[in-house]
Amino acid sequence: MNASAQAPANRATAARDVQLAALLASAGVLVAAAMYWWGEIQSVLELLEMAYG
Amino acid sequence: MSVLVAYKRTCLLLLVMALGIAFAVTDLRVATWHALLPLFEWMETTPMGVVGKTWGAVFALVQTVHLLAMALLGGAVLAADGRLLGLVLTDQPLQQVQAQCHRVWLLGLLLVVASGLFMACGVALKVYYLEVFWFKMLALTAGVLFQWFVRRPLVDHYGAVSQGSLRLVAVASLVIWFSVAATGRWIGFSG
Repeated sequence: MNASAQAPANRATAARDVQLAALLASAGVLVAAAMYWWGEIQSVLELLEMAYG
Repeated sequence: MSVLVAYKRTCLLLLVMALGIAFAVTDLRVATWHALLPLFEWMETTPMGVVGKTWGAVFALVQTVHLLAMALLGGAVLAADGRLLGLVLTDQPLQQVQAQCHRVWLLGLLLVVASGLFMACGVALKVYYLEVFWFKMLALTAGVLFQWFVRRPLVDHYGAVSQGSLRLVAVASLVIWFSVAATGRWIGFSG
């Protein structure tokens, strides 16, 4: 494969790498945020239950 | 080996995520927290800490700058992510919107960090013992890293990546910056 043919292939591989990293990072962010906010909402609900029954 | 080279960004991300999880679940997190106490004690003795504690009006003024900077940063995030989601500015070229929003975001970030540092010096020991402060720092760090190493490279490859991945990144970015703003407001209500 010559250099001119390699360049588009490299760009496509780089795009796949960037996209896969973005998907994994986004999934990680969403899972971590869901766990954090779920815990916070549960603790507020417990406080409200203690205060008002 | 060639897979590691071809997907070096993904491999690096997995390594960072693994290190982050290891840090969170081991004693290293608590040990780091204890090691940071002298730094926070020192912060209260700096000129910024003394001014922040002594003159409430100065603290309020800097806090106003902090909130305005957060609005600037949040506006840039909403516009940039809204464009990625196809909700706003759809008549403008995507990469032009992203480039202009990034400049505004950067200005907002610099102002947020500078004013936040001043405010943290004034109430260093209070925030040191607040769990939500550390979540805000974690979310802020994650937001900056996400912007630079995930979001911008993906936008740079616009045309070669799927619309779905752009939208997912936009949603994740919005969630991160919402968390930064919400935990920041929570600090104000605490203690």
